[in-house]
Amino acid sequence: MIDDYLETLARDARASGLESERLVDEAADHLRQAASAFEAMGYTRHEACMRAIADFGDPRTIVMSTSTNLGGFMRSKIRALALAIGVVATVTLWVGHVAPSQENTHTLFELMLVAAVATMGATTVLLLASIHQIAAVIAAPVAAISVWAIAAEAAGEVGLRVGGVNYIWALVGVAVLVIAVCHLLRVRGAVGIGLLISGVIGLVLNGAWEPTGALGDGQGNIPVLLLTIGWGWIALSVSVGSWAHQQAARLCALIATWLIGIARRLASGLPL
Amino acid sequence: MAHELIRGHLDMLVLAAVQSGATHGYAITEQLRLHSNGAFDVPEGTLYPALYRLEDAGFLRSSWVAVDGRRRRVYQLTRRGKAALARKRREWGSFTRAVSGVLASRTRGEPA
Repeated sequence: MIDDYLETLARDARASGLESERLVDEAADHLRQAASAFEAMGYTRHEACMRAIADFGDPRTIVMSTSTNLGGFMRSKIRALALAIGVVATVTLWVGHVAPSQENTHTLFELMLVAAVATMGATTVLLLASIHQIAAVIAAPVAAISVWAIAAEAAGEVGLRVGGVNYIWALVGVAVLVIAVCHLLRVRGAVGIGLLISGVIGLVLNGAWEPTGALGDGQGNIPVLLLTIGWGWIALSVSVGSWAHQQAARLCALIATWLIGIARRLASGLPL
Repeated sequence: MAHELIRGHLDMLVLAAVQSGATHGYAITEQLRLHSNGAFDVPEGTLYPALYRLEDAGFLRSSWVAVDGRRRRVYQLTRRGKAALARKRREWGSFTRAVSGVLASRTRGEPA
């Protein structure tokens, strides 16, 4: 039972970019001592472990408190550096996006844009410090977009067009999917990652890489906005600790309440 | 006792619990519970973020020791930690005297 608790604590700590080893080792020592003390009072082993765990508290609360207390990313110089580089990359993205695409400057701005997007991705990994989880999160939209592309191709063959509003819906769908996967994997900055990946996929769907100029001619407005908001969200969620998470949770709860209300109204109109 | 009230003074309480010598997390929570007659009953896991913060601030130093084949992190006050505890004690003394003065005046019916 204590081992299960420690496993959850370690997973939550890693997902928050904390060095989990020390926290988990200290928690293990604490819980074993507390359980032994309860056993000495006459509790069974099972009851003693239950009480020790209950007294120790919720793993997520402890991890969030640790993260906030350590000043989040500021404890790590690499993360502070990643934040600074990410800010520069975001500014570069916008400079490249709004710059006039004259013949002689076109290639330079294209390179700036590609470098900016790549740097934002790299700094995201550094800020969140959970490469394996982010890889898992990226796999989900790639699979989804492949299915979407095949479906679009099939729709094209029967004379339907997938574009315009459907393009926006595709981005929204990818964002929601990524956020859901991030939430399940307990990855910090779920909303930010969702928006970031949607932005990149938006660029691909825009034909931004063939050639990259689609970013600079106004077609890439939505993906560039998504990239900016997504990266900003990640930076905020890492730097201000639990605030962004609480706001996202509050928004999710609001949406859920709203949906349940609609479902109840619909259900009340149905014949029994 | 309200958790918020304890949390606001947790640094001072932890420093006071560590002042007697090198000690570990579980012993600190036991000391807090014992000396407060059970009033300081906060989730024990929240002690560790406070310990890390105090160590980060240079008030505590810690090291691993081996106990029964397991490793245990023990904490002790640094010179800065001792100075910080002394300062917090003075501040707390002034604060409680001020609050007691106001409360006593209201009890006696004097104008506040």
